[in-house]
Amino acid sequence: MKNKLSSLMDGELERENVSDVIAAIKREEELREEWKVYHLIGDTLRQSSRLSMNISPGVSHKLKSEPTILSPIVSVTSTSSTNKQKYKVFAFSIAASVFAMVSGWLIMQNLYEPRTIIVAEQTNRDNNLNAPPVMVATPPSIYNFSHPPIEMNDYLFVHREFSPGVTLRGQVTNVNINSATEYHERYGR
Amino acid sequence: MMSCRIVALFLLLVICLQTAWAQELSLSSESALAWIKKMTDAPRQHNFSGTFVYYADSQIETSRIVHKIDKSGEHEKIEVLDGMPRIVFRHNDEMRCYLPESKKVYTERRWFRKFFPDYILYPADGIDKNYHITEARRERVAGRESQVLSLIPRDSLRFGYQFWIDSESGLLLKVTVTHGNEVIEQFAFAQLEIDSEISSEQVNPDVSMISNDWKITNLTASLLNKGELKWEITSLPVGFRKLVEMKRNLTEKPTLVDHIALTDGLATVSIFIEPIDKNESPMAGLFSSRGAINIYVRTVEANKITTIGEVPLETIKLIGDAVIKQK
Repeated sequence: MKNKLSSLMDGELERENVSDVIAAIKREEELREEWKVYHLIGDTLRQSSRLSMNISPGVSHKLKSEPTILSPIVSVTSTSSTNKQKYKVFAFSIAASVFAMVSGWLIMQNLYEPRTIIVAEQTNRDNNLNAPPVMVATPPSIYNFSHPPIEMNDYLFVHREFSPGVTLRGQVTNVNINSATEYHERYGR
Repeated sequence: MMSCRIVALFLLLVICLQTAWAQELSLSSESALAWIKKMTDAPRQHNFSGTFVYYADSQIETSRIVHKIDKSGEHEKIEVLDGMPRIVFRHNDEMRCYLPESKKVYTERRWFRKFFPDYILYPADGIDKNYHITEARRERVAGRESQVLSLIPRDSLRFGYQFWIDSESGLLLKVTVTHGNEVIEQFAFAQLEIDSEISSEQVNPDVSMISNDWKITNLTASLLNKGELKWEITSLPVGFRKLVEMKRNLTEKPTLVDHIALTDGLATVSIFIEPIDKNESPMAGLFSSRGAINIYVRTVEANKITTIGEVPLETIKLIGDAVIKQK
């Protein structure tokens, strides 16, 4: 059954088996747990920004159940040392407040601003594209090239079937090889 | 004591922010989903003709469209008005692209039509799972009253969209693709007539185009059944599903290229796999094309895998890296 569960998750389960597996999941607690774990593993592998498991209730519960001690240790030796202690606590709390504000700001940044991508400068002027694909990032162990391959235009044209606007994108200028001429004639510019 | 209260207050604030972050976006409303359905049905129910502009990377391109519905289905003519003349005629899923200057015609069969304003794969399916759709406001576009829908991506794997939908017919009048707050591409009607009388001459090639001196090239493609392709995709990013697997020719290349298409209901991603020529040294890496399109190229066992789609670079790389050869 676990194999079938895994197949269902991957979208590979035969249609006629789907309802049986779903019924089994509803019935058996163990399968439901497996389902959650598979999703969590999947999310982690895909580096999904949100995990299937919601940890906020657990954190809230912990916070509620653990006692919070906020009072500083009060020294009774002398008034001046008490004042010193007060200033110390005050300074620490200011530092903590600033830290909390900065972390809050960082979270907000992360939430609302998508990661910025550094666009490399296009150095080659003999490029065949009017709007050439620009190398924007390099995955590890892959070399950088500033010449985008001309076949990419064919791919863009074919992808157009699935995507509007591609007929209008990626058109060729500075035609200097046969395939580029071909593309130029087909798509203009 | 006072300062401790401040610390506690700030800690509480941070926790609240994190909790808010963890909250799921709620399901889209029934009325918002009804607008999406109306929008996808509209091109199959209405005649229309007009001029639309495509905007990306500070460049604008203009096209004229005539769309007719009759008993045999949809007929369409799209003429690109900028640069070299190109005219596309479409009858249902058969497409012909005419290039008057070089007298060439490219014919193609299209299984999944997605031309503005027919923007979403038909039937619209599963969009709500990946985008939270809200009815934003009413606005005038091309002299017509429209309902604006906001499609907020439920995760960082996809771009956001805004649709301006004609209140009366449901036709899509304008669409923007957004990355954060930035508009990365846009289609919009500048002028439009809906339900006007359209003759068949307006959507078919004229006499000068039906002569023998035009060179016709057929771009063939054959759909594959599950398991026929030597390649498979392990662990697709959340919300994406396989649309189709096929083999197809790219212009003059003698070998057929494997093509896998994926969708999340709105955005589409194509994966092309072909053997690397002896003389060829493919360039691996991530590339950004115009507008919303991103590209990722990698090589596996003397094969070049090119992933193209209107999704963020991170998503393109996740999908491209998930392609493996079947054992």
